[in-house]
Amino acid sequence: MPRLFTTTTLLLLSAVSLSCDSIDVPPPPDIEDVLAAYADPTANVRGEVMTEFAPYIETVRNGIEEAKLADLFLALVIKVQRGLNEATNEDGTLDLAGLSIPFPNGVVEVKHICPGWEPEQPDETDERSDRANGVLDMVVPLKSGSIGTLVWGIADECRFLEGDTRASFDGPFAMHFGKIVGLRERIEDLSITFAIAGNLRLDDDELMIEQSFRVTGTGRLEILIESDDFGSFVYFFELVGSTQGIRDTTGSFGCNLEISECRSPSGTFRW
Amino acid sequence: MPEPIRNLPLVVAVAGAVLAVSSALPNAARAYHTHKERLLDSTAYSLYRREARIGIMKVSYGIIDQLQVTTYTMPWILGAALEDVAPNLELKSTFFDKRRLALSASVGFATGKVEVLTVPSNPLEEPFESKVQYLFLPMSLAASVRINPILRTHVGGMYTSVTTAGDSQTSGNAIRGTAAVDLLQLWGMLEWKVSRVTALTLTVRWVPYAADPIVRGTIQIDPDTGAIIGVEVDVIDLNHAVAIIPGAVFSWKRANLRVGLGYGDFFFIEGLGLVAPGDLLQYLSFEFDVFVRF
Repeated sequence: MPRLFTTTTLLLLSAVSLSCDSIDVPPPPDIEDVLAAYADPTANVRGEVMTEFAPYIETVRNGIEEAKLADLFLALVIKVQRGLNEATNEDGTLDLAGLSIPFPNGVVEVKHICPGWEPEQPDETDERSDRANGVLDMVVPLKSGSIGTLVWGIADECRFLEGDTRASFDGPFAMHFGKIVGLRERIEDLSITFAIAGNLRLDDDELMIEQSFRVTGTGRLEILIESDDFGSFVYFFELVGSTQGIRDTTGSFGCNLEISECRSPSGTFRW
Repeated sequence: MPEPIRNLPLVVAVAGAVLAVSSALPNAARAYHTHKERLLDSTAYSLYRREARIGIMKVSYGIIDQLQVTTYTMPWILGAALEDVAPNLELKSTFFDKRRLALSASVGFATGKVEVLTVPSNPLEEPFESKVQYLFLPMSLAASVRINPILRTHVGGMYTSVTTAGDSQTSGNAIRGTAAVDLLQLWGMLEWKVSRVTALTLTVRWVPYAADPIVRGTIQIDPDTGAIIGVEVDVIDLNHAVAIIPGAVFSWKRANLRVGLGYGDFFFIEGLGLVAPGDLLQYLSFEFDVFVRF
């Protein structure tokens, strides 16, 4: 009998699991090299470089702009920012589980069911199906009550309509804001660096893409090109004035993909 | 009338019932420090079969010689005052007790609800109430060694997992959250039996490890977007909290009194394995109970 109760006690002890609580999230991607490449491009772009990369730049630009991938990810971050802001008092205190936590540090793990390919009805109130539409899982770090510099996640066959185009993205993504973002700050005004790797689908066209691009508050799109042979450079498109050009190790100069021409400080070159 | 005051008669009734039972059983009461009647608190010893202890702080019963069940009275009394049931139970097994050495293991739980009123620092914002459900899971191991007929030493360790869960309502955004704290507490107690009535004790308690409290919450941002918030709270560093408490246990013919008063940078809540900031009680740590054994 005593042995039985000894065993029972020990079983009870082991049954009450020792909870080793910690905040476990997928590790952040390392995009330091990408940021360094934007800051200090190493390539000296000439005609032969553009011969190789011009079609790719055009394809990537069309894919990014047509799918509005940046808008998709950014809209989700803004939703989270708004939700956190509503849960935070004016003095920066987050109320959680009956505790008031001033300037919290931690993470927000977001699960978003994608919009899908069916046009949204105005009176639609039912939750969408994650199986049919895919999901975006995103990690948003909290630094002293603000959103951390880097947000990352993964899209699982995330479907969305862009105009009449049926678009989808499947793969990891990351967004770098360049600074910690306050809960009342306009994220849209920041210069945001994106890094994506995955399968982008636009209707029947599929594009395997592993690419970084940057969108500035003024609407400028920068596409980072990295090559083992030539180094790195940035091809940019200005929203206003349709200006486009290259930023490389020699500086910035104008280019035009339509007429296959660049005017660098050392002279005009074509491809 | 505020709820605690409205419930004062109930609190008094519960406390009175404990005292009444204590005084109603004088003839059967066992007392005096003997080889058989040993200290139970912070030791590896437990009640023998069909033996009971009724006191202000806790009520225990020996199911068999090796297994004792205990419930702490304060959670019940506080729960009654707050109009909420606060059940708690502890099983303690003295699974080895031979010659000079005794070993025990115990496991327990305490649960209940408290209402937390949050007053925002901004006077324009409305104060709001949130209900917080708590669950304590303490478990401990202890060893007692009889050095000689008048000296005993007791050592032990208690691991306590504390989880709270609550709902909050701020600016129309409902958040369901949980908070978790794990802490390990070690203690050592020297017992000196001065006479058959008086035993002096010196207890040292120490927290070698306390996890940073982690608070988790779920928030529904819109019908298609949910989020889990995990926040590390670095409010109080419990690590290396210590308390030193000289005390005494008086065992008369009918009643037993346990008292102790010492210093602690944190206040240790015995049994539940909890630690409270010392400045709440001017850095005084105390031990107290009045009980009968029969």
